[in-house]
Amino acid sequence: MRQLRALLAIVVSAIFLFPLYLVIANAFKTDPEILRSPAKPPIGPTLDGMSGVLSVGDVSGGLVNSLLITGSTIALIMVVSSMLAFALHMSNSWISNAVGAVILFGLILPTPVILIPVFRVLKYIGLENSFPGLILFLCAYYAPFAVLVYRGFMRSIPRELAEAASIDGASLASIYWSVILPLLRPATASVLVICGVWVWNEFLPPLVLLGPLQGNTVTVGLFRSVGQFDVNYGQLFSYMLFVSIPVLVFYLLLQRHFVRGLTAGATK
Amino acid sequence: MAMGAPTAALFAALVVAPIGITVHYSLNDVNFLRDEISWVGFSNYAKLWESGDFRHALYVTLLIAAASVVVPNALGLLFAVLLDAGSRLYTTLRIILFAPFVLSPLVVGLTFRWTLANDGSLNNALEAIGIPGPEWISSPNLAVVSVGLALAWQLVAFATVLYVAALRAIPTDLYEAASIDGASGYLRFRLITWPLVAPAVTITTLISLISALKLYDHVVALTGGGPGRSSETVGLAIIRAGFTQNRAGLASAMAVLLLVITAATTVISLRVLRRREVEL
Repeated sequence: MRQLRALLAIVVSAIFLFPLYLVIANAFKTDPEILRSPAKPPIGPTLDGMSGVLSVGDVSGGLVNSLLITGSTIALIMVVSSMLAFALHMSNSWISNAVGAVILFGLILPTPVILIPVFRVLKYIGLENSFPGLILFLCAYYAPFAVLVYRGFMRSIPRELAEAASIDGASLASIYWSVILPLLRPATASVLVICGVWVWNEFLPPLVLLGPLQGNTVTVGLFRSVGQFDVNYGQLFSYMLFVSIPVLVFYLLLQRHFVRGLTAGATK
Repeated sequence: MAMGAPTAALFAALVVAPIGITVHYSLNDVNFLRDEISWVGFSNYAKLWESGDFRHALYVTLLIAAASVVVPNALGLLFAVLLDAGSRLYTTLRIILFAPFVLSPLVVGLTFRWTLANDGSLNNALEAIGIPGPEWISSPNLAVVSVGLALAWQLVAFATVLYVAALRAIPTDLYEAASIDGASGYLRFRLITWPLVAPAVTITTLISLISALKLYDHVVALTGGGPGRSSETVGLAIIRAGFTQNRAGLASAMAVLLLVITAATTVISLRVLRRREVEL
């Protein structure tokens, strides 16, 4: 019975993960091999696809851009959303309650709904077609989720702790920096890994907000090169693997924080 | 309070204001190329009402949303029950089973396009067991199913992990007590498991709904909205009208409708599901 269950679990997981396996396996096969037997594992793996895609497409540039954009966005999200969450945590005025409620609404907002005006707003402040513009938008867009996670976590921190420090004469900013922020570390880990994966995978915002002239992210690059690689599957799969490796590694390293953040943010 | 101001300002400028501008655009004829904007009242909405293409996009979106509530909850719970055990094998399986959720939807869409192609792996497998494989991507109805499958793949991964976490949190002595009282497997599930995983049902349902209603990346990569416009979602329709056809007014009317639908369905589901959680 126990062996049967284990076998069933392995078979079900294998079927379920088959698409992921296809991407990884076929990135290391030659085109004739891929077309003849796509499901076969790469026996005698080749790196032609991987090296080919790096030389043809602007993949390395895209990877650098995506790293830059993802890194800056999540660093900014961490700072601004923990600050807002702390301000909301410490105050009970109607303004802070209203801000808290409006921010929650941001959780359900579909990106296609606001991208046209976001482009206009960025143009108005002179940040259209630029990395800073995209980073600011992504930060604003994912801040609600981060605020939710931080607020949920802060409930376990007694307000008296901050109040005691302020009686001792510390300013709110220094309390935040030296007392609260270190306590928030587990929540910060969750925010960084979850938002990191989401920002890395974003496709429509960079497509629209960076425009055609800028160097773009690795997702937009993949999309633009699909037609180009229609004849070269090895390179297409390699490209897909390049897009996927960073998030897979990031997730595997921090997977405990990933699940905790997704459940903690929502069960409270 | 001052510490929250920069974030609130950023959110106001790049999320709240754009929603207001979208509503404003939806009541106007907007031409960015000529920098013209003129008030037309509700005529953009009237055009949408008359447009068969938009009604179809709405239908596709809602259909996928409905399927995305049912499938990930059902399969996720089933997988979780199967994988809810302590040994290292199950821990490892749970970790890798979540991987699809972190992949780029674009990569997922492209992979499914390739797997579901007429001579793709799925049809090869079907033919091997004697079933003729259908045209997944080039037939209008199955193209919608294909898009739904690609999204469901990611959402099932997500749901499984949430349900496992919920199952692991249930104290085993509850089940032991129920067994001693002679409760059958079904009764134990009905009276212990199902009520106690209620928070996981809530999160899975909300995340699935939101992901389905904003669906764009999967569709673009998998079918491009085709054949024709048969698998076009509202997200795709908005971007095509707004950017390809330069009809920002019309696109904004679609956007406002999508936002209202998203807000209404999530608020109603949250109400219903939260009540279920409280009734424990």
